Amino acid sequence: MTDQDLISQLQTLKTIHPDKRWVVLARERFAGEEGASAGLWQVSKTFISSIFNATVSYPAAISVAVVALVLTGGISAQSIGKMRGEIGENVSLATLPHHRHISAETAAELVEMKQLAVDKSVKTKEKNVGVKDSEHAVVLNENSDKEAQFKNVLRERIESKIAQVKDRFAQLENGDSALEISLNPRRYEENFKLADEKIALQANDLLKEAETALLDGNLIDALDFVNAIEKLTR
Amino acid sequence: MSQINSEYLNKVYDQYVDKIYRFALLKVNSKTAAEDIASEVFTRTLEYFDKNKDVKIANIQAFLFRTASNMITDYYRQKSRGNVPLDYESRELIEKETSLKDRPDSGAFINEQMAHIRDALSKMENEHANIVMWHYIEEMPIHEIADIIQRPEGTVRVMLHRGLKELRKNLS
Repeated sequence: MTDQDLISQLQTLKTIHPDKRWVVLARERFAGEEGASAGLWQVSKTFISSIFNATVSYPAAISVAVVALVLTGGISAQSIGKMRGEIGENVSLATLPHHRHISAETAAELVEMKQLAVDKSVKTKEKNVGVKDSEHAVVLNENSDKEAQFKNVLRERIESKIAQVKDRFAQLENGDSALEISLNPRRYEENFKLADEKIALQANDLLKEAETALLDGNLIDALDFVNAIEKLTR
Repeated sequence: MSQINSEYLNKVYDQYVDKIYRFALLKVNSKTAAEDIASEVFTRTLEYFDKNKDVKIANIQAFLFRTASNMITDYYRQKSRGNVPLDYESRELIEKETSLKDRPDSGAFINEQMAHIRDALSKMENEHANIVMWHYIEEMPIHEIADIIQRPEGTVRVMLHRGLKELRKNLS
């Protein structure tokens, strides 16, 4: 084998890239940590690493911590929101029997949609929606009629969000008029972020992932992807 | 953290995250561990900037890869010490999560040939493997590699030549 053959083989490894969702989430966490003083995340990190001797990845360790809290007493949606702000966007819900990493935002949204589909009411502020509820929400293979209702609500929500993102891309291409900008300054600001080439590329990739996940029936992944686009342009 | 540093660090992240992740993955062969290591590299860079406000890093790429190398060494050191005993449920949760992410179809390695090269690299002497990866995959010039490993450029050239020889032997 010549040196050139060897080098060509090595260069095929250049095609390895990280998961796009992880890149966005890690970037958000990295940006969030800038200038942060010791908060719940720092305390949790120290506490968790002392228990697990840093041989376990932090997301996995937090999964265990969240499940432990569920077993002892449950967490309110407000607590999830607080944790998101202090720990970072990738709070992991290790929900049995399926294990996945989704953002706390997606988890809270799933609980809300479960209530819409199943309970026909949304009272997230008055009612404590615990992590246990979202355990049931994310286990989509429950054998019940309610599962189908929930899936329909979820699918509609995802399709609506995808349509909104595509709409924003289309607006960018067509160019917003001065009148439109003045009527919707906030949307213009969000579109301005999309106009940044790197962000637009990332958003486009996430959109493709969301559409593929939706087609494959992976509804939770699809929701997580569209939420990641929203976070990118916030 | 000043605005300038904040913008600069974001640019550094965007520019180097793929490279650092790829290097970590090729060394540890675990998507989860590679993601953790890559995240931690940038967190430590941020902490360094926080603690040393007046110090400028002359070569940020060298800094990042040096940090990544050290973290990978720590990872293997801790792995060889064995895990802290966990209760059954925690261990099961973590094992399930790891196995889901690292299964062969997870996309970590695109094809068998690439996995074969990765295996050949893993059998090499650590520094030789690093130098070969940095030069041929990440296209780092010799003087930058010399900066990372704190050796003269001539030594790096010799190590690169030996590294290729070793890789060829492992692949055949």
